[in-house]
Amino acid sequence: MAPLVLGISALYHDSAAALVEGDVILAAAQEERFTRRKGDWRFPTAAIDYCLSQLPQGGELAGVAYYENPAVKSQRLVTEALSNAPRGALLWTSTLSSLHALSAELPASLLDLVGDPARIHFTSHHASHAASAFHPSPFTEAAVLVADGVGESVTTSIWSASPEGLVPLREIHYPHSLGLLYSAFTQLCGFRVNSGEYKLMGLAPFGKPKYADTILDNLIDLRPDGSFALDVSFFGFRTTMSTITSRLCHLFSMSGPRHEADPILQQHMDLAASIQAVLEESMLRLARTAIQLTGHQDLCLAGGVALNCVANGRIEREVTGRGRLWTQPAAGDAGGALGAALLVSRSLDSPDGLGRGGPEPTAAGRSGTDAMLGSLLGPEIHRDDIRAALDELGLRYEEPDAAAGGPTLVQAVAAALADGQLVGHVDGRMEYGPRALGNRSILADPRPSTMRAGVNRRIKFREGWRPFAPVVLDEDADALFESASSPYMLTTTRFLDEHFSETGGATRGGPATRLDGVNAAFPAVTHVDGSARVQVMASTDTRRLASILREFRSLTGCPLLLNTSFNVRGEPIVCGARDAIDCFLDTHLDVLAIGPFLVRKADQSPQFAHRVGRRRFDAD
Amino acid sequence: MPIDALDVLDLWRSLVEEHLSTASSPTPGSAGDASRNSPTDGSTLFRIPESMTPTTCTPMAAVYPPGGHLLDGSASAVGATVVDRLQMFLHEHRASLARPDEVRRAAEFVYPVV
Repeated sequence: MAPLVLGISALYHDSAAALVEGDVILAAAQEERFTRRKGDWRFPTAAIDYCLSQLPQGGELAGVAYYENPAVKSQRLVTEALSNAPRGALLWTSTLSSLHALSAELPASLLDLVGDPARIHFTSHHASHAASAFHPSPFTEAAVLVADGVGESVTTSIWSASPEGLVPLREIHYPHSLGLLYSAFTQLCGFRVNSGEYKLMGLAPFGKPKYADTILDNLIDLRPDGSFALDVSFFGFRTTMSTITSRLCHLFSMSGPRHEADPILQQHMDLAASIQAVLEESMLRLARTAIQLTGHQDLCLAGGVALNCVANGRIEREVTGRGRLWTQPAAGDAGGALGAALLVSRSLDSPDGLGRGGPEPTAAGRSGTDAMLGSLLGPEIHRDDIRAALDELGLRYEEPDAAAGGPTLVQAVAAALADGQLVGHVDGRMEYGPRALGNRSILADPRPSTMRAGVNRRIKFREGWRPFAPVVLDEDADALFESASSPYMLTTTRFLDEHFSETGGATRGGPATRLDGVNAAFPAVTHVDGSARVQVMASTDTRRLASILREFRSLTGCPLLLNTSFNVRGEPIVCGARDAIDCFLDTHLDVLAIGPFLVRKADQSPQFAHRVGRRRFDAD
Repeated sequence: MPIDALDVLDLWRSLVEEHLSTASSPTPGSAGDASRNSPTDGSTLFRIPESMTPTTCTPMAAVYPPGGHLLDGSASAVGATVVDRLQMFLHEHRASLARPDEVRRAAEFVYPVV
């Protein structure tokens, strides 16, 4: 039996646990889904409990893997604090808390799990990311690029990956960090650091990169090989709780950062476009260097920066080519739990501790499929639990597939969607990583021009301009998009020209500054620049969402659905039945398809109507 | 036992004073580093990793030496003494920080952040 290893990432943000058996991934989940605290950073007790519940019968943990090295991280924290003194006083409280957690709480928590310290192992932060990117990938050898805010000390790394293991080739260290650079602009534009970065990416197409040269001339020294250094005097993260300084604001003639409640001005859109352009250029250069240094043709990505699907799309189009880029769906720190588990499992499984194995190569050197199981690695939703939760609240529901003669659940959902209704959809195991891929999703018709703003304001309670992603079957993708292949919504591509009409509003490629100006065939899932962060489902996928897509296409001729995460602003994606039912009742969702059951808002007693829109949600 | 805010402040102040008597080198890439403006000369800002062999895992005993401290053996020359004291401090106060707002206010009073 291959070794069973539990991986853990914790104590920074987005804690998670993962369970592997050799190279086989059995379970993985983020702590936030269980505790309902978005980005929960605490030791992931609930996620660990879930993973341990997935141990094979009679199975015992061979090891526990922690995703970074606390000693190295502590050294960086102390050295950093000392080198900045007397500035940085405001960070000492959190530094001491972090050191206390790493020195006392963490080892105690780990020992509670297995008792024997010989079964506890530590990896490095970037090695965990690199392993999470390579080992589950379809490649038997590849270049690996990791870019994030900071782990122990490394912020960017390039690796050569083969069956012999992962070899580090190049590094860039803190405080020089693409993740922290992007976070500074996130704050400058009025969004929250460590959660609002994807908003900044979504805002970028509304602007022009008019400040890109200013950024390159003043903030980042970007070399031709992609290596870089920041002028840290413009940033606050080393000595304050802020990532920015007044000097950075003055560089862009701003008196301060935009406040959350303030309107988004053209300057903020231009700043977003500018930093996005610089990030893309940096990642393109790094990707080319990774390919060149390793001699491998395939590339794997991980680290929080790898969630920038616009940059990923350009790397695929301009560097690797289609099908030769693979990004870990849980590319942020949550994915470190999986990478650490895989590294330790392989180490325990080989006499020299280096690890062997991986997917069997084909003639092309690639196995063709990845080992992520669609990233559906979280808890399954069970029929009895759903029924109990529905009954407890006294909700009226039906079980379409159990009734003879009527429409099936798939048919009922597709009909509701075709009627313009909004559907919460819960089926099977929960997704691992930040994207909802159909099993904890809100679905809608992408064709009505009002759908985007409607879902944003009536369901998600967030800004109306925020883009949504489409989901499509692979058999339809080539007729819709220039190049769409990601099953995980991790690359952005463009709709083909025929899906834009000639009249009215701004056209793609033009000076589009109003979202409503895009005259697209699928406006709810088409961004202002004509792009989309598309999820491609294999036609062989047996999940219910694939059947819903076919049925909706049959009813309407439209091969796409809007697919967004099943949650509201500031809350984690729903996990269990009660989470989904509460979200359904608190929002303007019309239908909830959960397991085999169908719940319609219109069928409920009036008492439930009063819940809609009454809860106050945190900003995200 | 909760850690008292003034204990933390005293520690912090002593660390700062100790640091001020010990010169530390500036971090590459900080303000005034002239090397940053040479983007086209083909030079690189990459670091070569200390080891270019397949990555391995570290056992718990190497990270948390039995009877030792987390930071043993990894402290920089500048911080060696301070790290020992900091570790002692953490060891003596196995609890989370209490009254962090007071720590913050006290720190701001004694050493306003520039």
